[in-house]
Amino acid sequence: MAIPTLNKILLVEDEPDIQAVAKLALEIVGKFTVEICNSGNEAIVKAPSFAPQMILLDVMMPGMDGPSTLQALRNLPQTASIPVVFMTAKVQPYEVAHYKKLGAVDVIAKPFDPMTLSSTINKIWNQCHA
Amino acid sequence: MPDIPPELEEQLKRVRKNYAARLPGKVELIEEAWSKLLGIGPDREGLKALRIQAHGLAGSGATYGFKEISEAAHKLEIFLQSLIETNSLPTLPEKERINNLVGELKHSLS
Repeated sequence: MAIPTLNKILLVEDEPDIQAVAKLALEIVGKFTVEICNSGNEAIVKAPSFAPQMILLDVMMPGMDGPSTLQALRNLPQTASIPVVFMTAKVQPYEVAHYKKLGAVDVIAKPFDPMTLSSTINKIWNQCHA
Repeated sequence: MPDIPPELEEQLKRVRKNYAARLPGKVELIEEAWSKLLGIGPDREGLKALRIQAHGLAGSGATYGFKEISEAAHKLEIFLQSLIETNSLPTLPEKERINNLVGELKHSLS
């Protein structure tokens, strides 16, 4: 069965300067359609209508953090099965294992390389559908 | 290493330049926040807010290639995190340590 093409990505990140680089990289290199949320709460509101195929989620955010946001997304029928990838500087093996146990399909290390971010995401997407 | 699309290279240069211009202001905000916190007596919520600011600067600094600033902000973040986890208000030597870390952050700009 053919793997569907990844087009729509929701990026949840509170830091505007990181949003800017990630958006540029994902749109110019990956040709993705990217919607940005500044917080977990905003993601809960926007995700059902935007209907992303994948969600990139910052771990440490003020208010609702990444793990809490993931839990809330899993509780919504429209977003329950969307693959979520955490983005964090905390990528020790035990930390990655913890995030995967919470339900993330993978973890992308920060700082990310704008040039390879899209290919990393496509690789994760393909693994999700293998 | 793949070639950088010219459009991305140009846009990255633009946002990096813009970020660099705003960096002193970001550090100043952290200095001001700590100074204000020190004036009213640092509580847990205040330390958490300061940690979030330091975390943001550590992450964005690394993303834009400002390694020294990112590392200095990360050191501040880690120390604040340790205070938050112990759930205690900072002692005089701990306040002094934060002063020094904020000073190091400012120094990393030069």
